[in-house]
Amino acid sequence: MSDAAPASADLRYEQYDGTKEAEFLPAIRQLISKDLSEPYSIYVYRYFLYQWGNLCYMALDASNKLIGVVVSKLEDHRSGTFRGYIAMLAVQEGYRGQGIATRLVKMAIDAMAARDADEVVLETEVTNTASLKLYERLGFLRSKRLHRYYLNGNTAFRLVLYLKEGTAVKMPQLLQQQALCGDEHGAQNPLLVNHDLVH
Amino acid sequence: MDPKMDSGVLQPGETLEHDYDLQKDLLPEEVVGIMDQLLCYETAWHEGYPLSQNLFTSVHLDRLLWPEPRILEEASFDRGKPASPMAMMNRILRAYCLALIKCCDRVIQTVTSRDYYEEEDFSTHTYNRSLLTQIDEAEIQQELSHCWEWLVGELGTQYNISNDLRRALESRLGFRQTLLSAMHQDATEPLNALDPLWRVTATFLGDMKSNHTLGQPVPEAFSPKLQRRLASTVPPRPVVEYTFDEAIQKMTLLCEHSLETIQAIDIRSSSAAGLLSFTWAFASHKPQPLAYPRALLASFIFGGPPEAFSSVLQRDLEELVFTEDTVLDPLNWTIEMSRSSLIPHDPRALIAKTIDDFLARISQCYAYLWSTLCQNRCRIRRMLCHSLREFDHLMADAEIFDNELHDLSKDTLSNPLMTWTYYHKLRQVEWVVQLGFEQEIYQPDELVGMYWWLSQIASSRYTVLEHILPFTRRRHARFAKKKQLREASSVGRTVDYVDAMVKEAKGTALLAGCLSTLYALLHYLKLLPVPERPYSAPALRYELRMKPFLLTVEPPTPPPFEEYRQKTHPLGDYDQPSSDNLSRSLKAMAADADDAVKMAKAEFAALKKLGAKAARCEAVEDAWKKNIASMLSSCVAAGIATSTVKAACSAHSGISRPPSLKVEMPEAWKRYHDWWVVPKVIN
Ligand SMILES: CC(C)(COP(=O)(O)OP(=O)(O)OC[C@H]1O[C@@H](n2cnc3c(N)ncnc32)[C@H](O)[C@@H]1OP(=O)(O)O)[C@@H](O)C(=O)NCCC(=O)NCCS
Repeated sequence: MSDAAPASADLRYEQYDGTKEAEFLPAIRQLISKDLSEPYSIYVYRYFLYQWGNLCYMALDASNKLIGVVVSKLEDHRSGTFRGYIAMLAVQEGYRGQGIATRLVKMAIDAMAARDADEVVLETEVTNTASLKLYERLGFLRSKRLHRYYLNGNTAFRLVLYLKEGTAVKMPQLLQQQALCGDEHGAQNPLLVNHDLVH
Repeated sequence: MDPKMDSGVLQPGETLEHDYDLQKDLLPEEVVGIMDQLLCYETAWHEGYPLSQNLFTSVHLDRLLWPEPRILEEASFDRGKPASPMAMMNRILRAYCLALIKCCDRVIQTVTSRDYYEEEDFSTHTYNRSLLTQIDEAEIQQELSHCWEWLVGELGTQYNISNDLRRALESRLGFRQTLLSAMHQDATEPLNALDPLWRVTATFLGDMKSNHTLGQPVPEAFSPKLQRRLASTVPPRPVVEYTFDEAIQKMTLLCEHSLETIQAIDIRSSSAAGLLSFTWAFASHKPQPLAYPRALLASFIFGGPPEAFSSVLQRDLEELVFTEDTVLDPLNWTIEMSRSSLIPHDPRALIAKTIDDFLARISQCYAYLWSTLCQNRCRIRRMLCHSLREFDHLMADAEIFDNELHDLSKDTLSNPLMTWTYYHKLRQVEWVVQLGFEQEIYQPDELVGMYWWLSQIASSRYTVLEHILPFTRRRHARFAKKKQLREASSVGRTVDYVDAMVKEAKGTALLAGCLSTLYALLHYLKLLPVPERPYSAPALRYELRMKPFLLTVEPPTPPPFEEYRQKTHPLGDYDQPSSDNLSRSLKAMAADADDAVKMAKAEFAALKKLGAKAARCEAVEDAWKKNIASMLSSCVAAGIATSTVKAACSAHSGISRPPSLKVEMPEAWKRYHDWWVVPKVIN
């Protein structure tokens, strides 16, 4: 790749289309697995794309090459909120720093807000400055630090963005008395748990 | 296939079997090399990586463990082969490996006996291999001794081993012997033997470090391919490598931390506040103690007969609100309730029942709090968020019990149980916020609000303490006057303790207040930018930030957003401040911040003068002193910042011509104190 940043002006931003899995899924996997430390299996990608393909956005160049992607989901969370979750985000190295990821994330959040999400959450490594900066600039706050969250032993921040008032005090529909010793959720990366389930 | 996903990938032509010959006679230097590599892998395991990524890549361990040996003899390198006399070097390596496996077994048992988080803290997965659980430790110790005797004895000298190498092998066997013995103890056994064991283990590690270079690595004795044979749903992962120096350093620390936990046993039976400061000091070590020593600490806090831990709770009440109070007089528990409805109950029996009921109500929450403090640092903050809510809910019950007590015991602090519960709740709220600073949860422009909130909580806490103090002083004077010296001295200790906590809480409230004002001032002076955050609104961020405290009912609860906004924006928007005389208002703010930090410093200095014993921190006096010194340094740094801003405000006429100052936010590791984010203001 040449040093001069390729122009990002003529990129197209598109929602993922399940009928074109054969065309895009391998590219998405390749782009993500290049930069993320976690080993996600094909099932993890399908888990997201089958159910929430409409919350996945891609940046494509003129020749339909995948330049950037965001993968997310939106579902009821046991805390009682309708929670959006950004699972993966990556931009080709040569295209970084031009706002491509920001634009993709905004599209995902807009889509979640349109579907009435209460909040959007995600995790990122504590040392991932680019990612922290990107999300925090949009309005995400760090809510917790997660010790050894990733399989490689790295620690994460959970970032949260509230979209609606009253999110903090929402209760589960079935108000189960939370067992004192049980934490609100397991710490480890849920994507890997999913991976185990589908295996 | 992606090698990152799957490190067990076979290259073309490769097979699942390793081609290492386990019967081959090893050289002494090879044995040392293998042992040292095993130590590196053991360290990685202690750090939290699963066995498959470290120890279970050892061909030797694999052979000893699979198929599962029923008796010790079956755990051998030449399984299934006709028994031949084992070469001594192999025998030494085998003894070392057996003890290593047994150590792992002990570690798993200790960690899983307490609350821990799988993978996050530690990985207990053994892939269906039993880590010699059924085999008696004594047999393994015997095998170690046998090898050791052989080495130091005549037979060893017959072999052509250099003295240096012999010593290298001796220290490794010795290390395993003492480590296994130290790990084999548990809280129910006499512990006086444990202390020297951990010390000697650490000494052996020092020896091993000095003669490590004598060893010769045997890379063929380890194969990441072995992961493939382990039953698991997770694909094999890269092997985690530590250098030998790192391993020695981390294992030495593990020994030191484990050694330290033993003190908890004595402290537990002398003071609850002392145990609390000890536990915090332990949890504050950098690097933080690993899962094993943390589990050890928890087992010393909770272990032993059930009364041992419940007496901590009693002592906690006694040290704050019931010192030398008839409410906790053991006599109360010896008086029976009246059996006839015609004879009224003896009030002492009723007091005992009320206290027992309260203890029963609170014991689970109280245990949860202690268990929280034995977790990793990130978990501590998150679990405290739950714990503080439990304490908050307890307040209503405490009030009922207090009403009962009120009629039964006249000479008792008013609302003692509520006071105690409230005090504990407030401390936990403070910890959550302070750990937030430590863990870099808050962005720079959130500091105005978070320090404001901290100052609110700490102020409430010293108000509680100031409710306790005069009562306790009067009681002390009464005992002193009556020459009841033992009682007077015991109440005197509580007076000192409460006094120390007043100073600590006041200092905290003042310094937090100073920083809140200072940061607001920096915003008004446009020295600290506020990001735009197009996808969020201040009220929503406030709600998110205050989430841990929103569901509490006892004050201080987070105020409505408007009120909070007013408190953190005393002159209106940072962009467009509204004030009749802005420059005067800014000067006044700067002066406030400056006064507050001076007063904070005076409180911390007074606390230092009272001393560690007054604060019930004598068991961790050094850590206590260091902590106060860091708080005082934070005050000095904050003082420099406030006076720089104050001087600049006086010299300039306000916002229209903001002073040409520069603000630097210190990196987390450069702070004087993790809990105090003090900006550097440069002229
Ligand atoms: C994180 C990532 C998606 C950002 O993509 P991008 O298109 O460059 O992002 P944007 O241009 O929208 O914004 C990134 C911001 O981070 C900044 N940034 C980039 N690299 C940085 C670095 N090493 N240090 C500090 N800031 C950095 C950019 O300058 C930009 O901020 P600015 O506009 O204020 O200058 C991209 O770096 C990436 O693919 N990384 C690898 C995968 C990853 O980490 N994903 C996120 C895990 S959840």
